Amino acid sequence: MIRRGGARAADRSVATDVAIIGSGPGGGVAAARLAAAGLKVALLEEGPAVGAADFNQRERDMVPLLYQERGLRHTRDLAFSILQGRAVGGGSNVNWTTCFEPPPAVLSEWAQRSGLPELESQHWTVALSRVARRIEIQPVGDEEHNANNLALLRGARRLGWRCGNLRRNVTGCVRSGFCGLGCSYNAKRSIPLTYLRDALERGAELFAEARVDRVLLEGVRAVGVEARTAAGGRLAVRAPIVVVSGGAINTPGLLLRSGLGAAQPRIGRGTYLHPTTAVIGLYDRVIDAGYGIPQSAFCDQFADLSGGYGYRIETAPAYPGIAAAALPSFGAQHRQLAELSPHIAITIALVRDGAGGEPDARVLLEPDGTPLLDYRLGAADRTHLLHGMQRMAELHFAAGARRVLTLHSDPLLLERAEQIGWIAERGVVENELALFSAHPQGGCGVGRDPRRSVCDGAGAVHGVRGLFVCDGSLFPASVGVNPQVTIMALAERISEQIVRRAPRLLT
Amino acid sequence: MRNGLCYALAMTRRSFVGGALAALVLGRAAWGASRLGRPAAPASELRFLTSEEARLLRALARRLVGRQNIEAAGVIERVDQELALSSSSLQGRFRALLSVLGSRWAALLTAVSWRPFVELTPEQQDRFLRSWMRSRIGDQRAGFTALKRIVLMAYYSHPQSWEAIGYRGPWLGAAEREPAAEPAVEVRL
Repeated sequence: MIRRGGARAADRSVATDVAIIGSGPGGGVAAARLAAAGLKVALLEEGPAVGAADFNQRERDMVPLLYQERGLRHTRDLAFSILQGRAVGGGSNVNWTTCFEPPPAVLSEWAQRSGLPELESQHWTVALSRVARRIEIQPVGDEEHNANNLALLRGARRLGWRCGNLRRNVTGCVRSGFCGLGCSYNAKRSIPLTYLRDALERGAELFAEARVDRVLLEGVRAVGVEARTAAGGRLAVRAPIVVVSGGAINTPGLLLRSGLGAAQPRIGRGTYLHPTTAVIGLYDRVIDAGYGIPQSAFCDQFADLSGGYGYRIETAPAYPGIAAAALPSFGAQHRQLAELSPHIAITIALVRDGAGGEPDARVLLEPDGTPLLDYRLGAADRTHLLHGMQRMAELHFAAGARRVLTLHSDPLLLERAEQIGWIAERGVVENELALFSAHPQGGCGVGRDPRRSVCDGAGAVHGVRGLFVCDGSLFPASVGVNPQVTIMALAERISEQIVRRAPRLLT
Repeated sequence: MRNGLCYALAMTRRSFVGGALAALVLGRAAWGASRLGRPAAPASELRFLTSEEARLLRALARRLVGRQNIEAAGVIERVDQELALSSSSLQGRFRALLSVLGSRWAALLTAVSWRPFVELTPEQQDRFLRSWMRSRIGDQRAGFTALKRIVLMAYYSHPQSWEAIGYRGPWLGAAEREPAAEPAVEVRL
């Protein structure tokens, strides 16, 4: 049953077995699995319940509706724009449908770093295949690429770089290109169409437009949550099991608002972003990067530059507002570049951050309780990003681009491959180069040692009975690939652990 | 070669603009402070921005977008709406940024004029914005980034702007999509 919590101005209290906060890839999977195990589940979501009928493919309406902080989320120094989903379904509504399994080498590193051997890849097989089946992951066909992705493949192949078609969670895709603004065709197998449907069929109750302010604690025991509805009412959910699935940044934010920061100094530490920037190729032919499958090809030639760290090259769609905000300069120069939009192909380098150790990052609370990420790009990650920009410029020239443009504020326009070295002269400087993240991870990392982690291998917050985390904030280090599938598979595994512990917690 | 020259010029200007004085006076004003006194009531047609702030933002937006017709795209109203619905922390920072941008000190320290931004000529306004964009002071660049991001997002997400950039809009409900013309790319910056 779906309840629009936001419509209620009156105070209200409900009792249940499990309160899950957040309905994205972590919370959605947990809701389905816990409800299937016979637990009474209440799912609370800050954003509204939305569906295909609401998705009008207009940034002006969709970005404020479907993204955290109305699309204005950023790091403390404003260097990174952070794109994270909001609304029922969370990031699964706006995900570009790219599906990668976590690389086995990364999982080994996680196991070693966390002291949890169960994170080794052989323990993920069942969960990954369950996810693949439920969200209908399938490979992209060669005939499905748009011109933007074809440019990536053409350039990479001419240079002899490893590349290929990726896999996506869609059935009946019409290739409109608007995945990032919600799928208007119900083709994307998002959480509301899959796991959330399962959860509701098994009796879970969903409260939309209910923002959880804090986890209610009695001593070292979680006893529920307190939420505020959009209409100003209070909603108290009493539950002996609380599962926080707000995503990296919001989950540590909620734990901090709940007063757990003093006992758990690692909350909000160990946050990763997959720092990303774009390089644009200007082609004589029309590319129309805003239409067609946003991401259908990838190049992982440079995924392991040092010790398992490097970057992957993918593509990005050109929605006019987001793209224009990222284009260099302003005024007449910017206008001239914007007018070339149909001719631009966009590649992005997605860096697996942490090459030089855990980034200097921390989730803080603003005076009004809003979480804010303070993140400093590490030196080794900066080098990888710079490497990526140069290789992407090379790729565009190999693919036939007439010019290549970086996202430095002061435009750097390359006319031939010999000029690629200019990129290194400019470097990667915060607020001089447009930087993005659509993949915040960590902040409540798992680990055996409570001094070096927030949660144990079951996602339970160290030292607090009945309080679990189930989302990407559990990652003990960055995963290096688009993280949705890893989050969902991890949620499958965490849910099993919660079910196992439930009988003790419910008594 | 042109790019190399532009970059060299930019570096020279950075040395000129960036400086200890600017750092001392502006310091972390824009992003460190969340309150700069109680703001006046919002302009009658707006929910967050005061009349004075709206006037400043309009002048800034015209230079950032590089077109005069920003009214047709409702940029000010859109930014005002976004701010009105944002967290109080973000509201405070944006208000502080506008306060700094609109001050006589800011214009003086960017070596433009003693007059505030709204009274500068368009050329002076561009020099002002360029100096913030290229500043050695991280907070100035951050302020420029914040302003540019919200203004350009507001302008280019409006259908009014789409024809000029060759964007054909949503796929939903569109007639069969015609391929766009394919003129050769000519870029001069």
